[in-house]
Order: sequence, then structure tokens, then C-alpha cells
Amino acid sequence: MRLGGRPRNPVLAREIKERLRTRRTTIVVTVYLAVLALILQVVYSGMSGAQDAFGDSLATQSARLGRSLFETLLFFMLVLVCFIVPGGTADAVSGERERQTLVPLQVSLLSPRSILAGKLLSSVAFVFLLVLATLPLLGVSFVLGGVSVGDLVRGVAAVLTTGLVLACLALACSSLARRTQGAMILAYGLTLFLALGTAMVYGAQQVLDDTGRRPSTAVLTLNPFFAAADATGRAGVDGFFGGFATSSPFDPLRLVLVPEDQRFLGGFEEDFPGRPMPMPVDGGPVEFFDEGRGVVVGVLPDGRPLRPEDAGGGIPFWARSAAVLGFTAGAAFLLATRRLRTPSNRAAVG
Amino acid sequence: MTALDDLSAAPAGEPLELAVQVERLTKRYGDLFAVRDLDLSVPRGAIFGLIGPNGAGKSTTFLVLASLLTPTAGRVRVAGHDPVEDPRAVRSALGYMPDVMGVYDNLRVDEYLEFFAGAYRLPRSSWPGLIDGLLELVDLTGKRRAMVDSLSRGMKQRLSLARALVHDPEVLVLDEPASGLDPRARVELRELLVQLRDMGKTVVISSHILAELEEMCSEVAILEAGRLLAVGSPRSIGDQLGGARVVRVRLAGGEVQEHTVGSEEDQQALLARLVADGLPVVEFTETSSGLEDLFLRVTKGVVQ
Repeated sequence: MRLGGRPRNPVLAREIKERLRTRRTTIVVTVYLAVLALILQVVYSGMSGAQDAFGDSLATQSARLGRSLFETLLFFMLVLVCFIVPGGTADAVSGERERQTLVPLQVSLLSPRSILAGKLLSSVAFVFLLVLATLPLLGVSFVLGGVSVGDLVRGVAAVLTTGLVLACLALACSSLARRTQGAMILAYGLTLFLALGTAMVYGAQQVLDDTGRRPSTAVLTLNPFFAAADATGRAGVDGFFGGFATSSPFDPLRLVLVPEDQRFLGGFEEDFPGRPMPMPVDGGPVEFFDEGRGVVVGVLPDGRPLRPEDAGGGIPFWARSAAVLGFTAGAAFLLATRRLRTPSNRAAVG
Repeated sequence: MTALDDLSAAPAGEPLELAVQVERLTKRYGDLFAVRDLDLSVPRGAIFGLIGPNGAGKSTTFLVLASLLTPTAGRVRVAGHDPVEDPRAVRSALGYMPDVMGVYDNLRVDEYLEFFAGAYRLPRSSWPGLIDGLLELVDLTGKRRAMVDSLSRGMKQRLSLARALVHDPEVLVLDEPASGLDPRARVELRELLVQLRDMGKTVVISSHILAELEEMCSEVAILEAGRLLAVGSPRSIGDQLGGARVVRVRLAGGEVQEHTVGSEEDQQALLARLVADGLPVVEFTETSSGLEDLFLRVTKGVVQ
């Protein structure tokens, strides 16, 4: 791909051209923005009209509202990406097959990897377009406060990564299925598994485990919502159990990632420069701002780190999740490449 | 040493005698033989026709030539390259037109060709001149900015041919390019193929319009159920198979006679005898020795 001018990958150039010429693109972007704007309006009205139960300062109330808007928007951006990307990518190969345009592509000098990279980048570029279109809405939360540039960057990265992973999976489905309908069912099935199935598996682990121990969160590393929740904030700092009460759809997910006995329960004002003062509770872990590392870290009453990453050596959940999702996406892309390789033993149709 | 070995042993840069060489090609799907022990040799600059009923193995053979399908057995060379061992070289030398032309919605004719120019990694600076030339060749200059899906079937076929020619291949493999075309479009396509042959291209074509193949093909091969039944010039195939020719003779005064002869030599002898007998011959026409008739008899199992 080349920045500026026409992309070098002809498939990418053609896909973008075709995508921007169809009415479907306009409709998808319009519906996407309309849904997010509606959600923004509902959250804004609901929270700004509510009485401040804790007697927080105006700045804290504004920051709480800004944070809630940001996280709610981010959550629904992810939900919409889960709806849009599989549907928009599952026809990438099967659609070419159905339109009888795959064979001319395969007999050209384009490698299967080039063809699929063009398709993939086109899908990611569309997600990027959606994110760009959402920036004015996200900007509202900046005006209100409670959100840093780092939060925004991590949030956008989470949405783009989710789009990339889902696009890779949909490409693999498209190369495996003969028809687009089958590819769509397969792609949405996989997306549903990642978004809900993994959480259900985790829940089942918890129910079936009679030792009383907290089950491993390994299966949740496949879930982009948990990754985004961890990347953009942590229970104890940004959630309602921590610095200040918000109403973020990510909060329940963060609570799953942090054991109940290790959630943030106290701290000191000077530990949170630029952040609202949390409500201290005796006997719980303490979080403070580590100026040396530039991050907020948590310590249990007995001195042990609250989370592995708080010790400085652990890998954060979001990073493990990014690695697992990246590996999954890579494997899916590789599978799609193998399916498109010619000459093959079976005749390509289309 | 086989013909293929001869071909591959030719020094680099020296013109090859054969553009396409197929030796004992077999393609099997389970118990079903799509192609069985097929041998073909297509000389450079020839228009070579592949004839056969549906399921004869024509498209399978073309897919192997186009480096899309792996043969079960046998060897194939296209412009001196093996499609399995060096598919990239084959794709550089071959233009393949499948039997159905796919259409990209929302692309103009020039954009469609630009896309494939990019797909063949041609330098961008060469695209405008290349596309002008191709559109002129296939007579679509006036449709340069028309949307592809708005073209008629004949125009789409011509555009598909232009697409197959975009990288200036030396061998063209065209699978049923005339199917579904009206008579005028067929004539235009035939003229175009002859023009391409005159430009030095080797054309391998399959068609159901047998009369047209007979007119333009220097050689044809007849396939049935994956097997080669006959190969050679249309006339020599008739001779090989010992097919009878019906000659219609019209005499002055309107009398019409029909004679059955075996070969061209028999035809000459018949005419000489009629003239020697003093008959006033005003018309002497072969009526049923065409490729179509031959094809029907051969593929019905009349001649095996």
C-alpha cells in the first residue's frame, strides 16, 4: 500500500474504488453514525440529568460524564464493527467466485497473498473510515474531560485490531465456503463465538469449577471486548469501583479480569495527578501513580502487586489478548492463502 | 528423447517450434477421468481448435494449460514452461479467457483494463498507450468510459479478450469465446482471432461453432470423454477417419446429381470423369464433409 496517490496493490485500489461507488457504503456509514449519535444522546441525557449522589465537584461530574460517553461509544463501535466487518468481508473470495472473476485474477501475476492482502486492507481501510467518522462524536468526551489522548489511541487501536482480526477470519471463511451465504454464516458464527461464546465458556468454567478458585482468563484473550476493556481502563482506576463512578459497558468486563478481592478500594489524592480523587476504603489494596514508570500501579495490603503487570514484569491482559488475536488472524490469513493457491488438484470455479 | 525434452532443451532465446505441448496428459477426479492420455502439439502462430461435446475434457485441458489445475499424470509445456513447476512463467506467456466472463460492478472499461495491467505488474506509465491500443484492437474505443456491466455480451467477450491480451502473451487460450454471441459478433470475433494470428500469437480455442473453427483453424483436435479421437487439419481428419464426402453436381439444364467419395483425390477423379464423359458441369460442391458432420459422426461413436 502507498500513502497518497493510488495504492500499489491493484486489488486494494479496485476494492476501494468499487466500495466508494456503491450506495451500500453510504448507507452503512450513515446508519453506523446515526446509531452512535443516538447512543451518545441517550447516555448524555441520562447522565447529565441525574443528581450527583456523591456530592462530587463539577469537574468530577463532567469527567465522569466524558468518560462514560467515551467508553459507551467505544463499546458500541466494537459492536457495530462486529456486525459490519464479517458481512463486508465474507464475500471477498466467494463473491469473486460467484461473479466468475476469480480465475482471471488467479491467472494473473498476483499471488494469493497479494489478492488477499488487497481484500484485507480494503476491509481495514473501511473500519478506519468508520473510526474517522466517529472522531467528532468521540471529541465530545474530550470537551467534557476524563479521557486522555492515550485512552483515545488505545481505544482506536482496539477497534482497528478487532476489525483486522474479524476481517482475517471472514477472509478464511470466504475462501473455504463455495457460496457467499455459507461464508457469511461461518463468519458471523465465529464472530459470535469470539464476542459471546468465549464469555460463556469462561462462565461455564466458573460454574463447573467447585474448587472455588477463579478460572483462568485464557479463553477471554480471544474476546476483543475484554481486550478493549483492559486496554482503555482498569477496574479500580477508571471503573465505578475505582477513581470515580461511571456507567461504562466495559466495567463488568473489567471486574471479571480483576479478582474480587483485588479490586481497588482506596488511595490518596496525590497518587492520582489529574484524576478525580477515589473513595478510600480500609483493608483493600492501594493504587498509586508510579512516576518512574508513568503508570498507575496497585499494591495489596501485604505488599504483593495487585496485578502481575503492577510488578513491572507481567504482561498485561490486553497485550496477551492482542498476541492471541494476532496469531488467530495470522493463521486465518494463512489458511485463506493456501486455499487460493494454484495450480491445485481441484478446478477453481469462477 | 521425447518431443517435450526436445522443447525444453532448446537454447534460451531461440524461437521455439511448439507453443504448446501436451504429452500423455491425464486428469482424474476419483474414478472419473476428465482427460486421459491426451497428446497435443500446437505450433507457434497456429490457431488450434479443440472440439468436443460437454464433458469431453476441453476446459480441464485449458485449466491445466493455464496453470490453475494440477494434472494427475503427464507433462505440459506452454511457451517452453511447465505450468506446475513454473506457473509464473506460464502466466506471463499465456492469456486465458474462461468460458464465462465475470463482471466487476462499478468499474469502467478503461479501469477494468487498468486493473489487469496492474495485476500483470506492468509499469503504470505504459497503461494509457496500452489501453488505447487494446481498445482499438477489440473495437471498443468508443466504450472506453462505459461501465463494464452496461456492455452487450459481444462487447464483454471482446473486452475479456483485451484483458487476456493486456500483458502481450504469446499464447492465447480461449474457452468457448463465441458462445452466446450473435452471428455478427461471431464474425467480428473470428476476424479478430485471425488478426491476432497474423500478429504472431498462437491461439488455442474451443468452440461449439464448428463451421467457424473449420474456417480459421489450421489444426483441430476432437475430444470425447477425455480421450483424443482425432487431430490434424479438418481435411486431414476426414481422410484419417475415412469419412465419406458427398458432392453435389449441378448440370446445365438444372439436373442435380449427388456422389459419395472418400478423399480429395476421389473428388478430383470424379470431376475429371464427369468432364471426360462430356457432362455439362456448372457446379461441383462438397456438401457434407464439414467439421460439424465429422464431429457428429466421430463423437457418436460411428468412427472409433
